[in-house]
Amino acid sequence: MEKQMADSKVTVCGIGNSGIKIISRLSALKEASWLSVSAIDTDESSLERCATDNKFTAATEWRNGKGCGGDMLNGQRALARERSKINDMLKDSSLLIVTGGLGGGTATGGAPIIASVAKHAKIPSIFIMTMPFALEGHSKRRVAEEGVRELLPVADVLLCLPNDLLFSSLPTDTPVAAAFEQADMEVARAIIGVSELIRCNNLISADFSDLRAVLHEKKSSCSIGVGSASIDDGLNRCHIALEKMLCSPFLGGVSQMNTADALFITLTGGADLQIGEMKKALEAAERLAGKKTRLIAGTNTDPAYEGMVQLTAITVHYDKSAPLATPADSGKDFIFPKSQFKGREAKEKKAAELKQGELPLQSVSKGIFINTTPSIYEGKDLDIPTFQREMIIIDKGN
Amino acid sequence: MFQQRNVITGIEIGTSKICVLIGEADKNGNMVIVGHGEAPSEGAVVKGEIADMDVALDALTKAVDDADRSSDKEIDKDNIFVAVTGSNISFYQGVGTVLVRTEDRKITEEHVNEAIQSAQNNPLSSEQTAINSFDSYFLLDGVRRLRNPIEQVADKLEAYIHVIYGDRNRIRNFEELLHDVGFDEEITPVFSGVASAYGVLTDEEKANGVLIVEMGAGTTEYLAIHNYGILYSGVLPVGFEHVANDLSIGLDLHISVCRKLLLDNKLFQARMDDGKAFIDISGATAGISRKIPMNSIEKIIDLRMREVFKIIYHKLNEVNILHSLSSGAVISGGAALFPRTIDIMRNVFELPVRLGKPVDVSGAVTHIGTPRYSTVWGLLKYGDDLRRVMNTRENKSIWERVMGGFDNVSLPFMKTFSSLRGSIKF
Repeated sequence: MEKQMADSKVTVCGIGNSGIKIISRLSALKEASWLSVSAIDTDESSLERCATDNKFTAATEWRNGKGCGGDMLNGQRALARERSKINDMLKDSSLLIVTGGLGGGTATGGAPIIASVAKHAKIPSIFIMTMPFALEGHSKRRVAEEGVRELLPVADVLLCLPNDLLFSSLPTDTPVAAAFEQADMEVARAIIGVSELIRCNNLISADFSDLRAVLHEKKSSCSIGVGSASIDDGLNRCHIALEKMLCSPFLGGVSQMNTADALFITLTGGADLQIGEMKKALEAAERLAGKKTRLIAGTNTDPAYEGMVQLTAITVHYDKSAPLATPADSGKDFIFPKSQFKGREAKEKKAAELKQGELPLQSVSKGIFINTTPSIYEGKDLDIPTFQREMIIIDKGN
Repeated sequence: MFQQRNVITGIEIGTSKICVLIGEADKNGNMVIVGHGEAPSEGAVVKGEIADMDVALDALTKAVDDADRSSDKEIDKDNIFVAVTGSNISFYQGVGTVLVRTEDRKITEEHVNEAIQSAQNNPLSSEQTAINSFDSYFLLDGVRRLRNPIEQVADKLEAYIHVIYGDRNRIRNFEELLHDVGFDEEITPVFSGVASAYGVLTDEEKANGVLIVEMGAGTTEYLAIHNYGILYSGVLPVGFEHVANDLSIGLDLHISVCRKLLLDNKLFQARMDDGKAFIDISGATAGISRKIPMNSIEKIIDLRMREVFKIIYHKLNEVNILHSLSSGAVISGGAALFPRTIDIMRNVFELPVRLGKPVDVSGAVTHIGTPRYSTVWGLLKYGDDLRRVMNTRENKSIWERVMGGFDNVSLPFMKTFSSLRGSIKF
């Protein structure tokens, strides 16, 4: 076990207030003992509650350890300067899982920064972020969506879990504290489920690259279901695990699996996992998936799961209304043959034509080049600052 | 007369500086710098083109005087090379075909010459003029791609030549300016990108395939070279001034503050290394000190540079040149001094990128070994090469020189780009 951990160190990083709550839950779980847990926040008091040693407060000299005040820009500023610390935290990990709640300041602004650090260090990254409750208001949702837009191009894998799904499956008389606790717990379970994907001892392989291939650069919504059962539940434990998984609040019911564009099913068990059980569980899962669903099933074993089985399902629904994300620097991830590349561009152009353009927030200016021969390239005036043409908002400082 | 010919003067009229360099070939034939003069352009040049002749004249006069004073050589009026650039400059690829009908089907100098001549049939309009021309490669029987086709057996020879041309009047402006300063003789214009390539590239790079990007203050020139032949060239009228302008607009700072910020590499680098969140800029408005987030500065610079490199990347990608750049890319020009430039370029092109500094510099003036002087140093190297071509023709008759056979390919100048007759004025 020790050796395995050295081979593939998986770092789970909680960012922001809700991220820290999630990793606190996570570190309490015994299945998570092999994960290296770390935390980043701009708020000192929330970090104090966190048990892990591997933590730091971002930009203390500037935020005074008092949080971001829900301002995404502040979160971005704070973490952008801690790149070296983040890098130290991540180094020699083979996978990075970042968790947090979108809609606030630190996580929304900071997650893209962590993603870029990870990308630079060539560490694959999975972002498991929760989307705010609808009752938290439109403004939070807008911030969260902004965050998703920034994160999508830089993160290898982004799983967004809508908190609202929780309520759909919880009885209305659940105490509020318990509901939130359960939300954190479910995310923690989801993290374990996802981390199992890249575990060694993969008997049937469903790994990170599968996940990446399905999710990369596509705007999609995901749901995660995790169910586990132990030997005490009887011989039918796989069935019970499956049922538990289907009931798990972030999955959003069986219909999510039926209609999914892609579905990951991972079965994790101890050394006692039997072939019959595996067959039964995966076949049952297969029946649940719709005809058009791309199903990726995997199985692995781990001594920590002695006597237990755990089923993890990740459903992926592509957002069909949105075109492919076209981030500033994602093009290089693919080398398209020439003709194909043209086709992609043409498609993007078409999508752009159909979409109603946003009104520019900034006025366009040319500064010292105002009276010179314009430099036009492919219809763009190159004298206008790139950030204005790409509508990127620049923080002018104070 | 013959002695005098060894003195070469290179003049660069750039957006940030006007620079004059005088070089002389020593006994061993190496170029040695004997004089150097420089003056800031002060707005006389915008995006590589002369915007204010009067201011440019003043600056150039100062630079020429300085250069004259620092060397005790007279500037040789015959050997003046001026770097030209601007958005008007482009290139076309000429193709000339010759069928080999001799008995033994061996390609001779005459065949090559004929092919090149027919390739030079120029498609330019009357407003345009060719600046430099180089042979890219030769194709035998439509399949074999060679650098030197002579003595090869083939039925058909195709010569591909790369002609860099520009707007006649705008190029003329450069020459007029030099006439105003007092140079009466013929002035040879050289495309800045070509000059930089001469100035910084090694023979090995030129053989294996390399991309040179010269990012100056006003323009960015680029040149793709493979097997000693130019495959692609171009100018983008975007330079480091644009970066300064972007910063000025994006952060509400005065343009001079931004220029200073970009030039002061130490300050910038130190801030990045320390992981400081802010840079304090005082005196921006009424002496109030402002904290500018480093993040914003980096973002603005990164976006602009990335865009420039991406445009070049796409242009090269369209014609499938990127895969022939085995030696990677070289970045030169004033912008290369900025610490992030190489990283961004490497990131966009996914090629090894090195900093291009003038190669083989020697002489009294030693401080020119920085990327800022690549172009003007390259002019001297280009001039030196051209002089050697001329000298080898001294023995031939005028008629031979004009109609001239293809030069003996084993000559050292073939190690660099072989200059064709079109680039040599008689």
